[in-house]
Amino acid sequence: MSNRIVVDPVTRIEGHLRIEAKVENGKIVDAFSSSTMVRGIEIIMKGRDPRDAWAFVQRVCGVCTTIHALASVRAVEDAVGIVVPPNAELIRNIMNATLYIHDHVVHFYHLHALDWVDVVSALKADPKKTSELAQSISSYPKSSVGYFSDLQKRLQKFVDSGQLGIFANGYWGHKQPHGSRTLPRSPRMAKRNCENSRHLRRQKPASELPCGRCAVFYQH
Amino acid sequence: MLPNLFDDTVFAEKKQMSLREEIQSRGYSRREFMNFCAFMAAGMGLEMSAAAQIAKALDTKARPPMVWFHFQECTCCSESFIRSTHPIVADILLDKISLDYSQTLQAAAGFQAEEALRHTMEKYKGEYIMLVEGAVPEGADGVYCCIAGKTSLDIVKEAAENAKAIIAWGSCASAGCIQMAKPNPTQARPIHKVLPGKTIVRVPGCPPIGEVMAGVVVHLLAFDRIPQLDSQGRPLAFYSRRIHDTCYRRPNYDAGLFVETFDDPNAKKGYCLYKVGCKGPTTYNACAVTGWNGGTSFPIKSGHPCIGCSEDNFWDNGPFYQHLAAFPGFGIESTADTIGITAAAATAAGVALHAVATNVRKKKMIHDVEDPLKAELKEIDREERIAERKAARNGSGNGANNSSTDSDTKGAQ
Repeated sequence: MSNRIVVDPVTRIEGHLRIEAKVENGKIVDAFSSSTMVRGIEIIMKGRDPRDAWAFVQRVCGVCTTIHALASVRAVEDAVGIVVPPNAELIRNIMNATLYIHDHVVHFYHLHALDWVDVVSALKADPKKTSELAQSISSYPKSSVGYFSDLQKRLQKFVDSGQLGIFANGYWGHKQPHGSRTLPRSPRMAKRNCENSRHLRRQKPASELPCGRCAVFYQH
Repeated sequence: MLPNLFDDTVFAEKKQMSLREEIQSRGYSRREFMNFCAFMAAGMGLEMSAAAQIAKALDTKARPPMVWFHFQECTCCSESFIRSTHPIVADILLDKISLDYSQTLQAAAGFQAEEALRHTMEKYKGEYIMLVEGAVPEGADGVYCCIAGKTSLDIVKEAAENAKAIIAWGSCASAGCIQMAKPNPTQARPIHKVLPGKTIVRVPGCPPIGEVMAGVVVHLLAFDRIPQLDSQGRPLAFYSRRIHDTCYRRPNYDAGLFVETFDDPNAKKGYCLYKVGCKGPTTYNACAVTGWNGGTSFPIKSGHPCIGCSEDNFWDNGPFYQHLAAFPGFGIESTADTIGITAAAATAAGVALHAVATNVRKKKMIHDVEDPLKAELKEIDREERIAERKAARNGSGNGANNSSTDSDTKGAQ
């Protein structure tokens, strides 16, 4: 028996994407992806001043903006044979590295995390066990039982309000690679991290970063 | 104008948390909440007494449902919004408005996502706020932008029908932006062109400043109506002054000190960028006042001319690095001498957002009004002192990390 599954829109990406999958006997046998939006920036670029190219190309994506601009500038330079001085190269590297750090946080916490963190299921978690787990993997100062209990109460209020906002109607609880299974008591920890990511972007000293991978980049 | 945007009776059936309760439930203190209100009032160019009004409104209003559409765009508006400097802006406006549909942030995808949208549009008919990011292509019957099998043209018309307010984020939704640049291959249109007769708040910029976006939303929440708009539908508070008149390099322009090329000594000295293509003289925006990234900088401060991204058709207004004399529309000299002088006189040298508060037109009102905000802050001070004394009397507490989150989530002030 053959079936077709369509996912449109695919959310938490930049842009518009549609996925169609052909399913036979519970297995995907074929799949198609299509981008459902086009702006024609390539056509618009034709005949423009090459010095302006970076600004046009940058608008391909507002999430990973800088890298498009840098690549475009390099392409123009290559085309007309410009060699940039080492200081310019260094500044560009700094810009690229800054984007890398920033994008890592945005992508991970705002975009990617909801694929495997069922936020609402944190209500069922045990604050004591969560605290033990958190303390066993890092010295992050907010890993106390009290902190997790407070967080659970806040979440309960949010859920009780009946307006789940961006968390509404999510496809939660699948048994496959999903937070609730791979990280047994961690949904609440993950939510904590999500909440902190916004503060972290501006305020957290490196030692307080909840995510080990980010910390590596933040320490000079 | 929109009468009574958030009728309380709509939400009466459910006991919802007010925004203030939610802010506090997220670990912010009352002081931080009041400071946030002052910050927002200052950003909107309102007198300080408005801060108390904002505080009161946020205290009593429940969360309005909002749907955020993405059409022909690059998501830079969303990015700018979630990078709003003030931590409460990000927390509250992103999570605590009920953002029921947002392709960039919501957990659900595909059918579930569309169902959430339909649910909001039916249940909160006439009550939801519609936020649009991106232009709408009309070419080939609109197939250049489709979501869930529907064209953006159909989606925007359907959603606008029962929306209480419509906000066009960024230059794409409010002016067409890059996809509308010549030759406009997809026949892209800003949303006010496809929604004739609707009142639309246009918030141009590529992207708009995060604090400006937050200011527009807070205004909607706090005052039950859209902010005062100019003749082009832009919020007056943020788009009434030219970059040129608020620019800290303006004295260089007046003195005839110009950067001639990007590698000349004048560039290092921070002279005026007018001759290397700065579009500041024809651009209306708040960049030079609020700055970007928490007031850290803005393009001119970083040594790059303004490209005029908040103006209509800025992509086609000549190459970015070309002298403005060839600019279509009114000439620079006349405006610099006439419009410029009065506005420049009113502009403080400081660019910190806090300075805006002292910079508003009704300056003396600040002194006249017995400021309820200050009274509130004083009271908080007093309570804190009492609490400190109590704590000192009870000996040093041992649970510094325990349940208190206030110290960890301190705002940026």
